[in-house]
Amino acid sequence: MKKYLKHFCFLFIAVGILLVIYIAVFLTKKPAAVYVRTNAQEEERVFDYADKLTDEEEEALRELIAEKEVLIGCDIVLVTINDPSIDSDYAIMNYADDFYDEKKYGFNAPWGDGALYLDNWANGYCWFSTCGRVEDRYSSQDIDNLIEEVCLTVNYDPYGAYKTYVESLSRKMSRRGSVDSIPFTYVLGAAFIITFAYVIIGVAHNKGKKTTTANTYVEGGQPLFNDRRDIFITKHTTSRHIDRSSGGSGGGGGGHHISSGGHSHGGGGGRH
Amino acid sequence: MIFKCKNCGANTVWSPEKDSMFCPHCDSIDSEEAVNGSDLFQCAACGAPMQPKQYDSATKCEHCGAYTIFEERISGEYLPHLILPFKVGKQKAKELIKQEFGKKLFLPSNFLKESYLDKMEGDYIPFFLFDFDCRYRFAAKAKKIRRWTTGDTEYTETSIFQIYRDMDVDFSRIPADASLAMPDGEMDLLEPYNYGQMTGFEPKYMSGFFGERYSVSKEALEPRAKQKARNDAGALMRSSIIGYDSVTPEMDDCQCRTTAENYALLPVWNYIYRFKGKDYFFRLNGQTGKLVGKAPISIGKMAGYAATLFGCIVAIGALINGILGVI
Repeated sequence: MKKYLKHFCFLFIAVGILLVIYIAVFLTKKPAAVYVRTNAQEEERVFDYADKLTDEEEEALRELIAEKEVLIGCDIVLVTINDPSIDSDYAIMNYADDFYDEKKYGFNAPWGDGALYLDNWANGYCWFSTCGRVEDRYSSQDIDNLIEEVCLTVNYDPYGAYKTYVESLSRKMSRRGSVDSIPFTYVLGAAFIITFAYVIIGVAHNKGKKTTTANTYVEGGQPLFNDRRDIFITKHTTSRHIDRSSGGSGGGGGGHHISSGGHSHGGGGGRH
Repeated sequence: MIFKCKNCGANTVWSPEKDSMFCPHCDSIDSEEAVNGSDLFQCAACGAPMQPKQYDSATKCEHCGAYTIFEERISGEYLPHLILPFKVGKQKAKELIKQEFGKKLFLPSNFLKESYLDKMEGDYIPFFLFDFDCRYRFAAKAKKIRRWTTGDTEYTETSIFQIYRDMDVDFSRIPADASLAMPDGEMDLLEPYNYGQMTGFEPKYMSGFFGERYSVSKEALEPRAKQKARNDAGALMRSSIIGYDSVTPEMDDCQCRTTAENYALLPVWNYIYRFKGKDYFFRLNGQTGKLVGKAPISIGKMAGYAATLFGCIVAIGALINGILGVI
């Protein structure tokens, strides 16, 4: 037990220090500052055309959105539709972007900071349209993660899923969220790899190393060479032409594009 | 044969620490006298019956603890030419084991306990030491390859050499253990011994230790020792051929002639540890202290340590995330 405690003392101390810091920071944290709205062209945020939410749920979402918007300085819009004709990523992206543009959403200015989640219940297509600071902040991976998070439960709990959308967006866009946290799967992966290496090193032990050399038992320590010759015979040279071809590379992220209204949007879609 | 103290009559033993005969009862140094007369089945000190194994040449009486040496197994054809007396005592051997394994995390908790380490016994292992005169003749074609690039063209220049070597190498006292009980691989790993401390055989060095007579003949061991000589000669030969990218042998001939063989006893400490029904053997060179053996692993202990580490890392990650989320 003593050896065990001694072995892990630094780790236990590190955990203890972090725990103390966490508690101290948690207890002394100040309420987040509130943004001041400078654009209010459209006040409605929840458009449940597909009628997947009760009136109470709609109202609860509106309240949640209103509370979060001033904390993150972004408009948060939710639209559900039931339109079989919108049956591709391209179509639903255009619908979402146009909806955002037509209503002139944007917390700071028309077509400014904000996001819209569009869900087509006729065929499961959904789209997360971003604009302004949200567009800058969300990478393609972040967009995929959000859509995955919402689609996970939307079929049996639409309200819960849309609430997740609002909370996830506000968490990401909050000042606190400006420092990305480490995904928990990464933490688990790192813990697993370190533990695995630790066990391997702990288990590894050679039976013994050979400590004799080729001349351990040689009288005088060195052999005697009666003949030791390296005679050059011939030399030949060959040549080869080198093909130098260049390759291209591409990149992208965040799903950036220009809507039909001429405004920059980001976003990505999925299907449930 | 037993060595008794002239002063008190107790059994005197060879002390590696004192480099002399020592009486543990009255602390006398070099006070021994050889008392002959024991046979294979009776202790020379107390007369208690003994049951030595087939090849034992020295053993400890289970009744009185005296070390008896069996004369018929260290005389005639079994008379060793040489002996390397123990230089590492039991206490030092225990310390060396603790030093080697003390930092290992997953050992069973009683592995290094004094009561277990006390069971360690010193044993004189029979070896044949062979001398060989070897002649190695070698011929080969070797290549040196050089590459460079000019513009869009890569050039490769290959130089070819003819190599000749004719090497005489004499090996002295290549050891081969002559004990059926001792695994060859482990005995090889205990090498090398410093033969400078070897001396002509005297039975007194065996008092205080176990011993064996050879159970494998020198004729049977000679090919193994000769192969060791050939391997070493080959390595010396290869080390003389340097700077080439490839070597294609045309002649590779090594002839070794045995010039002498000596029967010798070399010192080894044996520690046998039993864990979950399996015996783990540890051998320690009784002269240099070199240790050979693989320690057992306690799965329970390993799981506990691994779980603690895993938990701590996850906790640290979660707390850092928590702090980043709060700030």
